[in-house]
Amino acid sequence: MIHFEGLSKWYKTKAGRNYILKDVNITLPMDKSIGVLGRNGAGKSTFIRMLGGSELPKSGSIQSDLRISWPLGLQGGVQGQMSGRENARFISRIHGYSDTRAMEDRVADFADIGQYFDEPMKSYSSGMRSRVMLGITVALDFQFDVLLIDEITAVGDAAFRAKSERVLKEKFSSTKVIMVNHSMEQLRKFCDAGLLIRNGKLEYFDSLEDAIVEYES
Amino acid sequence: MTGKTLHRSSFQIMKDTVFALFIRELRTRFGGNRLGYFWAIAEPAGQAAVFAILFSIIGRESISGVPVPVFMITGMLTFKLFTKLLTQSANAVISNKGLMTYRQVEPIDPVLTRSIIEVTTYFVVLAILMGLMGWFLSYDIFPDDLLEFLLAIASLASLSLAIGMILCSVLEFWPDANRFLTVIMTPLLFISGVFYSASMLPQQYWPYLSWNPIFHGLELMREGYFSEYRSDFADPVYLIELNLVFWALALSLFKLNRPRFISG
Repeated sequence: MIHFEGLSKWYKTKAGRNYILKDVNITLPMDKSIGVLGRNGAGKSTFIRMLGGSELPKSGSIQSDLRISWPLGLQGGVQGQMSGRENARFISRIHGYSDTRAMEDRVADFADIGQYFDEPMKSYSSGMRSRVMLGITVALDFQFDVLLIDEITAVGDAAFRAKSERVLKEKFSSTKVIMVNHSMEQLRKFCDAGLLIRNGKLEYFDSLEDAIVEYES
Repeated sequence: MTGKTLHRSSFQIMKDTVFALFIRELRTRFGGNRLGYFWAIAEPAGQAAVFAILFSIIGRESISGVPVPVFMITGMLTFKLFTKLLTQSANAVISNKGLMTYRQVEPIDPVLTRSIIEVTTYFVVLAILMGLMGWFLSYDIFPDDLLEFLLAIASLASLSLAIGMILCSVLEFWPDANRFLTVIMTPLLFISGVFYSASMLPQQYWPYLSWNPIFHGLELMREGYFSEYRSDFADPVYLIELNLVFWALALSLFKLNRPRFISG
């Protein structure tokens, strides 16, 4: 379970505070994977980043005993100046793995991007980025209860998308995902429940379809 | 597979993180070209040599009973420890911002990592250079009062770290502070007693320099290192007072700005 208590998040704009979330109190059961819905700018990515600890709420707190991944997104989540290999090493180390050589090999194997693995990640295409990021979670052996995925399964070629779908589904019983994606088809593939971000509130739906209906209404 | 660590204590997580940052930092600092390690030793040695030669030309062999080359090297290295630790820790947060994405990485971790690197570098380079002096010029190179020497280094380094941590917050609001820093570091070299001792200055000028904690630190350091060196200038209580004030400010600002360090 992930518990939100009195959570608020705003950004300063010229017109004053722009609230993304305002005094949110909700509990996500996390027995199902959740697709996050919301208009552009509603704060889907911010929400994911707060769950991953990349961004702190302005007030209130998020509490959970689950192991939650860092946000796997198209922006951030890795260091641009570091190569795929260096990122893999760094992330392995901070997650407590000491044998990074084995990890690197597994990431390289999954990502399958050849010599680019040793180039700075800022030179990668979004598909290559996603390959490395997902590769790192595969190498970490999915030690997470919750994987935070922001769009990364939506990019890349058909082969990569098939591969990511396969590995995520394989781990489904132990690792749930919280996913942001603009494609409903992608969300339906991975998620059973839905979470709608609207007017600074979070609304949880036990069925993704209900959430989509509500979102599109 | 080794070490699938599912439940680590906070301390263990910090250790893992600092280790990861340490490796990364070494790679960017010294790695790539092996010359990085060479310059760490050659740069202060070169600077000390220049002043040592200058003083030999004007016919001086010792300063307050300490042979000139040894005097220069201890002064130069300790001064560099202060300035490098200060600038490195000041920029630790801002240059590792991308890594704060991971919740394991706390803002204090890169600061700690850089402090470990700077202090270790200091002792390694000091040992190498003093070792060379002892070998070739047969000086007595071991600190005469090890404890006093270490206390002087500790109080100077901790003050530098506190100022660095305050600057972490300043840099969040005013990134140009770095330029300011470079501007004031250069004159500091000349008013901190790096290549002269306080006893060489007329006492009437002491009040103009006694605000400078680096001067006190260097004098104390030499008192500990060389039993023949005596300083009426150095005031350890002043250094400790400054430490207390700056640490109080540093810790509160660091705590206060933590959300900004992570998300901003």
